[in-house]
Order: sequence, then C-alpha cells, then structure tokens
Amino acid sequence: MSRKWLEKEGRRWLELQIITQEQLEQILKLYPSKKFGIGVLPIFGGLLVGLGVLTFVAANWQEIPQWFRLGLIIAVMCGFYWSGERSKAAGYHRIGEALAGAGLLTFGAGIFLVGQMYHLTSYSVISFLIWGIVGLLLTYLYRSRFMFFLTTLILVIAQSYGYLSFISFSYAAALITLIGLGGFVWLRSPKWMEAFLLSGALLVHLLYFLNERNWNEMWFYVLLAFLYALSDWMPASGAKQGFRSFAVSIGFLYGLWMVMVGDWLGLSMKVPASLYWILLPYALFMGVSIWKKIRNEDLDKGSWTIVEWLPLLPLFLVKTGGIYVYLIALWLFSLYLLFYGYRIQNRRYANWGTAGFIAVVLVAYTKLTWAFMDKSMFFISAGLLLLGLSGWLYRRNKTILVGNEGEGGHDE
Amino acid sequence: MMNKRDPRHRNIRPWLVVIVLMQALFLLALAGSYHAAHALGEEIRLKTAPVDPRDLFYGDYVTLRYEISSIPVQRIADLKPDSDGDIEDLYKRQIYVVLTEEEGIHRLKQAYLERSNIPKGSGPVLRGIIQGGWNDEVNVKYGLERYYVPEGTGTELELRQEEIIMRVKIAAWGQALIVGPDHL
Repeated sequence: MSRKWLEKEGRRWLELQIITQEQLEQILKLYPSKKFGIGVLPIFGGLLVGLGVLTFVAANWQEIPQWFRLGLIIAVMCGFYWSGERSKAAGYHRIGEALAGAGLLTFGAGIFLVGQMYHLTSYSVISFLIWGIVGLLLTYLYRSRFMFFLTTLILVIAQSYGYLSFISFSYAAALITLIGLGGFVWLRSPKWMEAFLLSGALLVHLLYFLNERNWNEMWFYVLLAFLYALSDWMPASGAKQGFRSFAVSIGFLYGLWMVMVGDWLGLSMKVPASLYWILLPYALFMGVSIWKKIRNEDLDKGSWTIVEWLPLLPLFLVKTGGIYVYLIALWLFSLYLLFYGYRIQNRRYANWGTAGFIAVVLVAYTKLTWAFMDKSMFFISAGLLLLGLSGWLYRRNKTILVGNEGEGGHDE
Repeated sequence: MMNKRDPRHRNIRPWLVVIVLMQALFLLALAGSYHAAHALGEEIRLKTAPVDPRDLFYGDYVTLRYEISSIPVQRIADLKPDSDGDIEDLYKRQIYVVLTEEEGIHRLKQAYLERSNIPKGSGPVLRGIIQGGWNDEVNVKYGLERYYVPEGTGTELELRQEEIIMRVKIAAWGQALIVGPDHL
C-alpha cells in the first residue's frame, strides 16, 4: 500500500465522514513517507563513476600492469561492500544489499580475471564453488533475498558449467544448494519466493544428476513428491507455500507438456521396468503427506487438499488411456482449485483454477482436433461448460468474494 | 524508525569484514600461486597447430590446440590390457602426460592415468582431462587452450605463423600456465 494512495483515499474518507481530520493524521503518521531523492544521488553518482572506471579498465585491461589489475579488482570489490554498508547505515537497505551483491559479483569476476591474467582456462568448478560459498555466507549474514538469489544462480551456473564442459556432476554444488540454501529457507523461513527458487534450483541439479547417471528424467517426480510432502509437514509460512506452489505448478505444466508431446516422447515409448522403482520413494512421500492431511485436525481444510496430488502423479506409468489420463487429472485438479477457492473464499485459488481450466481446455483442443475432428462434441461441451462457468463465477464473484480480496497466500 | 529488533539493523560489520577479507586474501593467494608457478616453474616448449586466423579478429583470445592434445591410447602406459578398448570409458578421467625434449620441443613420451604410476625422474609432467576421443586417440585438455592476446605488442603477428611454439611453465605442484609464444 503506498502512502500516496493512502493520502488520496484518506481525503475521500474524510469527505464521506468515515474518519476525522485527527484520525487521518494519526493514520498517516503510521506510514511515514520514505526518504528518497537527494540521498540517492550520491549512490547514482558512485555507480556512474564505478561504471566509467570499469569501462576504462576493460578497454585498457591488457596494458595495465598485473599487480595493479589485481589491486584494482580488490579495491572495487571492497568499495562495493563498503558503500553497501554506508547505504544500509543511511537507511537504504535495498540499495545496500544491491551494492553488496555487486561486491559478490566482483569477487567472482576477480577469480576469472586473475585466471585470465595467466591465460588459464579453469577446468574445474572449484572457483565457482568458492564463489558460491561466499555468496552463501553473505546470504546468512544479510538475510537477504537478493543474496539468496545470486547464490542460487551461481551454484546453478557452477553445476551447468561443470556438466557442459566435462560432463561430470558436482555433488558439492548440489549439496551446498540443498543444505546451505535449504538451511536458510528452513531456519529463516522467508517468503515463498525463496522456497520457490530453491525448489527450481534443486530440480536443475537433479536433472543434471539424472543425466549424468543415465537415469530416466522421470525421477524428478520424486522431487515433486518430496517438496509437496515437505510442505505438508512445515508450519504455515511463506516457504511452505513456495514449496507447494512449485511442486504443483511444475507437475501441472509437465502434465500439459505430456499431453502436447507425450505420445511421441514418453507415453508411446515403453516404460522401462526400472522406472517402476520411482514408485518406492514416491509412495513414501505421498503416504507421509496424506497421513498428515488425514490426521490434521482441521479435516475440512486438510483432506480436500489431497486432490493437489493429482498433477503430481507419475501418470506416464499408466499404460492405458495415454494422454487422456493426464488430461482428466489436470482437468479435475483445475476444477478442484476453482471450487475449493470459492469454498474457502480464496480468490487466488479460484483465479489459478480458472487459468488452469482454460489451459487444459486449450491444450486438449489444439492436441485433439488434429487427430479426431469428430470429437467436436467434447469441445462444444467444454465451451458450454466454460460459458456457463464464467457466468456462474461472475455471479459468485459478486456475492462471495467482495471484501475477501487477496486473503490467504496460496498461488496455485 | 530504527527498531533494534529489526534484523536488518543487526551489527553485521565484524563478520562482513572477515568475509570480505577472506575474499581479498583468496584473490591474492590465487594470483600468488599463479605468479609462483610462473616464476619458479620449469619451462617447456610445446608445438601447437596453426591458430585459426579468424580467432585474431573475434574476441581477445585465441584457441590453441597442441601436438599433445591428442594422445594415442597405446601410449597410455597404465591402461589395463584387458579393457576392451572402449574409448568412452576414459572420458572425464585425469591423465598425466610425461614429456621429453627433442630438438628444443617437448613431445609426448608416455601417458599415465595415475600419477603414482609415473616412474621417478621421468621428466616434466602435464596434467590434463580426457575429453572425448576419436578412433584410437583421446583428446586431452590441459587448461592451456586459451591465450589472451596482448594488443599492440606484435604478438598478433607472431600468432599468424604456420607453426607456433608456446612456452609453458610447470610448477612443482602441478600447476601449468602459458608464458607466451616463443620468439623464433
């Protein structure tokens, strides 16, 4: 909520005699306008000078004596950290963290520039890992989302670089992500964004691992099951929602993907017998999750969410039905989101449910019309359903969701 | 506004100073180790394949390929004779290449998969990683495949020759790095 908005609305409340002048002033006092303006100028000035120095250095890099280059890198790095601290002390936390992040990036650039001074091409990920570890330390120190983001990215790049240049999986990069960044999410339980990013990074590491081992990539369903079960056992927090949203949305998107290309990619292909092993850990996580849901005292709220397992099911293992199995699962899940969203009066659930429903119908349409034009009845009925639904939603919207905007924090 | 409980107002400076110092020291140590390898290492001279002339126009480095960048499998001394010759089993393995000097140029003498198998006093050893292969030869990368060309020093002209000899230093602890093209 911005102060400007508050000032504008406040005047209206005053006119409508909802509040008095004193009350308005009291309310406004609660939200002091942020100092901005003149204090930022020196920072922009500093950034400009820094950029100028950087371009000058980059253009003349080869002619600068080596010891001076090294000193310059270290000085620029320290300068960023120092000005970050100064900005934080002055109350500009975001800018402070951004400057410290620039310090971290300079450190990484320094590692590679030093290598370049000696014509070295690094063939190990160790440099990246040290960079990532420093990022991790700074993440804990600043408790900052920006640092968390940078560190996650550095470790994913480390893994990708190692994999693409010498096809080996870096257990260190994966473990630092899992334990180091996972620990941050666990201990600090930040907003959903961090948990979502962490899940994404873990998925990337896992895919490289599966690729290196020549395992089927369908094993990623186990990660989705794990993240979802984990979210069930976590106390209510942003991170809980992050893990849950990630598992469900990736499962949903992958399901859509399978519907689109599954019959050439996965479904027509014979499922190798070894792939059934994924059912073992999968069933464990699923069982743990469902047990928690059923045991949950708030039965009404807990048990219904069992439906959220639908997009997480490894349906490619089902031999009959092909893409229809996925279609039906995704379709049911979208309907669940829609109706459950209305039931608990959560607009985001309902909106995502609508989006999911439309996505499923569209994918089904584009996919199926090529093969079976005579399935037109399916689309007419889907279209009618959609029309009916939108009309019904519109009326419900008017009656139910008024005043409940944005309650709860669940996206899909 | 300055709420003491706000975690953003924790005093993190002592730790930050430690972490920043660690970073500075790491960069110094890294440069120091390279510098020591440069100063103390044993110099060898390696023959390279001609440089792609386009490389000199794009980017600021040239990609080098050495005579010893491909090594016949038969020259790997400690390769088990019972292996069915599947070259892919060797991918990603480290390889130690023992060099011998012939007329001022260092050439392959013998290669080993384990450092401990190298007989004492064999001569300079370069460590590389096997990346791919072809028929009975493996491709080896040493981390010496890029040379950042200093501008306006005439080095560009030197790199245009048919054959280039690159001077490389090998430190006692195995670090190898390029000194530059040899002046003929």
